[in-house]
Amino acid sequence: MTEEQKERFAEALHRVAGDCELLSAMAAMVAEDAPEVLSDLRRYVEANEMKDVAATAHKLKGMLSTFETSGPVLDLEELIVSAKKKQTQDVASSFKSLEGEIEKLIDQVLSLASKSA
Amino acid sequence: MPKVLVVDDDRSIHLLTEKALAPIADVFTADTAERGLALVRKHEFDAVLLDIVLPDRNGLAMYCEIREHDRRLPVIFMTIEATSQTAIEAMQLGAFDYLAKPLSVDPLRDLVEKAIDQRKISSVPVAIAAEDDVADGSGELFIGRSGPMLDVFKAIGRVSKQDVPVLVRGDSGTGKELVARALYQYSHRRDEPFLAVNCAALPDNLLESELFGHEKGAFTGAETRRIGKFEQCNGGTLFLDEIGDMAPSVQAKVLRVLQDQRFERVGGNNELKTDVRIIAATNRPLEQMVKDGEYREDLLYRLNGVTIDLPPLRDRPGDVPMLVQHFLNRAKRDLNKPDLEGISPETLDLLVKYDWPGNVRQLRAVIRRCVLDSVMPVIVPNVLPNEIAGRRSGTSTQPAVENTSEAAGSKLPSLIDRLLAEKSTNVYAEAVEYMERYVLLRVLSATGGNQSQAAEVLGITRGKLRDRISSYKIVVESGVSIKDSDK
Repeated sequence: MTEEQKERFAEALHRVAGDCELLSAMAAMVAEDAPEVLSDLRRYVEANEMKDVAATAHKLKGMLSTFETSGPVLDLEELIVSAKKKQTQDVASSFKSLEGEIEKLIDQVLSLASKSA
Repeated sequence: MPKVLVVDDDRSIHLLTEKALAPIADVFTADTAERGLALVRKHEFDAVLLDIVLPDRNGLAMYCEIREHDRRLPVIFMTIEATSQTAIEAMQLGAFDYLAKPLSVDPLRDLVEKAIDQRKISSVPVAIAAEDDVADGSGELFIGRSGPMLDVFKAIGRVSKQDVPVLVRGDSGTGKELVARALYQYSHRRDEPFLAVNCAALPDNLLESELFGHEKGAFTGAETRRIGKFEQCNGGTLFLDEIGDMAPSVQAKVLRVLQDQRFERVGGNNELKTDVRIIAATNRPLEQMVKDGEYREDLLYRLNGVTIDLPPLRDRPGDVPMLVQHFLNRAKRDLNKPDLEGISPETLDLLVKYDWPGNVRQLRAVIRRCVLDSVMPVIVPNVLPNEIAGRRSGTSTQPAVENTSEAAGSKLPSLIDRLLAEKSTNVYAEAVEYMERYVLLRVLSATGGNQSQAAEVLGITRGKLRDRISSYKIVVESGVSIKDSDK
């Protein structure tokens, strides 16, 4: 893990008691699973399946929160609330504005994973 | 090695918990409720970490199934929303605790360790089982088989039908009013009124009016005639609690009723006759007060023709288990805790060994608080208040009247909120006690510890002030500061 990454994920590192190896191993798993969950979320948003949107966004939020608790992860909550209220247009626009940010975060997590071992 | 089950569909959580808990437990993982339940049936776990949202079932539903299998298994919920409605619902259902995601290694390990400990200590057979079938009854403080309590029962039996005044003596919380009610219930007057007056709760002029009534215009604010308790209670029984807290003028009028059953309303000239049996109670040293000139000797002798002494709880430790059983059953029902199984032997041992300065009333409050605080079916020592568990400090039960500085007066609203939340049946007494203590500290502080001045400012006698100072264990350092001896 680079110094830059240690700084970027300082809070996450603190939560795992400074165990870089553990955080990298977790990152490897999340980097592998999260793109698929994001893809599912995109599909449910397009299909207006609001119940599945809420559940999938919740899952994604849980996975990514290990590494980041603000920014797009925090904004996922808004999307979940809109989905529960079946506000399809709000969900679509929220997802549109979030998608790129989430992909960026997943890339950062992936790079954290690739620096392991 | 203890076994912990983690149920979560995020495999990074499996990894985190396996690594974090490795020093204290063997970790088993499942990614669905179905797989988790299969493991619960197969293994004997010591704690479960359960995600609230699972792919195949709601975590709460799974929790209920775990409870059906093993009620004593501590379940810790994990949720991304620490304040979500679901998390609150989980706690209401009886979850051991919940953790907010993202998980942090140290708090996770501490909490799971605590759950494992709870599992271990609550796995012993209960010393006293909480029962569901509880009969209502007012004689709750008369539970006991000790010699001193049998003497009390016998005394009640001997004098209840005799139409004589009775003085009930005993420390605060020993159940003096219940003795008065028992004397009434077993007397010939049981179909007539029973009224109770706390002589310490009213200023002297109001007490006189409360007892004897007043005529219209007797004093400022007396816009109509008022009938006092001695008239209202004609033919019945009047319980005068804290009889030591009466001004000399009221003492004289009460003495006259005791002698002749005659009195006048305040501001009235007509002599009225009444037929009232007086039962009085006090925890004050009336004999010493007579010597100090604060209490009428003739009234004392009229009152204590028959005296019933209630023993403090510390003098009858053998009765504690029976009282605990009774209060446990009541709390289980009142606080709606159907899963409560009972109390551990170690906890009971600590309760029996404690000296109970607040007597049975305190024991009842402690048991209710323990039932409320306990997230496990068995009450274990760590939910006991620090002073009973022998801990120096901690986060356990707060006393009703906190041992804090004068600023503590601001905590009255939160005290009342807490008592209401606990479904206390003693809110008035506890709130008044809290308020009274604050008033004393504040006034004594304002007078620099001068008790004569403080008594004058408070509008009470010096004797009453001294008694309250003693009751609340306030240490007065004259002219310097006021401090609380409990600190």
